[in-house]
Amino acid sequence: MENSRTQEIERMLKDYFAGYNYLSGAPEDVIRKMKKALVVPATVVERLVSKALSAVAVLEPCIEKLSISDMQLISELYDSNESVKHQVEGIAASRYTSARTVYRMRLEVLGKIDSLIPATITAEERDVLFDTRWRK
Amino acid sequence: MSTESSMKKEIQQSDAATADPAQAWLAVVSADPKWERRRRVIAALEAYKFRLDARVSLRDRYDVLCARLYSGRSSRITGMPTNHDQFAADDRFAEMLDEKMALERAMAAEEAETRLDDVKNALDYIDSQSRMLIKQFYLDDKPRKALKSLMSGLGYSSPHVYEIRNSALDKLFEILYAEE
Repeated sequence: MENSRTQEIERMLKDYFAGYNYLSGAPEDVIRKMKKALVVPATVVERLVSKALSAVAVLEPCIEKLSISDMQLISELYDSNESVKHQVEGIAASRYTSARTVYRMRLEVLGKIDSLIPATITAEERDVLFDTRWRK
Repeated sequence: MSTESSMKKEIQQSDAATADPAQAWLAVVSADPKWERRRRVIAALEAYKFRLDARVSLRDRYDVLCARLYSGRSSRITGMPTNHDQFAADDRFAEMLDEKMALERAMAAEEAETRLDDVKNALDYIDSQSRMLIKQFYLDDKPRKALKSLMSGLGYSSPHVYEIRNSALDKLFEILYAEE
């Protein structure tokens, strides 16, 4: 997998976790409004909610297909306030392994996600994923 | 590389105009648009802090009023009038209740406004380390001690703390103004 693609998937994962965390405390009425219809976000709050909903909708189907240990690894790496390097060292220490092994495991998981996500997602595909996740 | 060389050219040009190269360097660095963007975010954060302080003073007034209302002194039953005019105490009590209700309404309105505050939402969206740095530098009462406490608390060097702070300001700019 190319380095740029790895970075892209990492950015999507960070957006996914940031979005998930944001939605837990975001204003309910705005979330309801943005879920209900495809509206162009007018305010910062609406834009953030829309971005978070979209990030969750795009990545969640792939993450659900991963094994529990893979999910745990990406959550430890990307749903954290520390840098990835710091987290890798922490995981290596807790699992009695080397940082290099953890980096390799991370690349394997990112490769699995890469195989589950299309390289480029069109606006239509994004809308379909959004509808499937939020407007059942 | 290209930006570096263009900056050097700018410095040489400004050196010709001003005698002091240090001042010329400072002028070139300040002219970088990223500083303008960060200054804009800092101004928004200062306005947000002002709003937060106003909210705290409302809460303080409410707490003082509640303490006075329910301390027992105003509702003590001794069988004796508190002053010559027996109804004066009742009037004050009613006034305080009115004021309490008005404060509660004002606080509820502030709460609703805060939930939709752009800066609050932008702060909620960024990662908590960036949020903590922004709070310590711009929203807390002791911004001068922020760098020292962050360096000792996180174990980072000062350039690294500034680097994270600047990237947090850039993230906030992206959220607040980039799509304008």
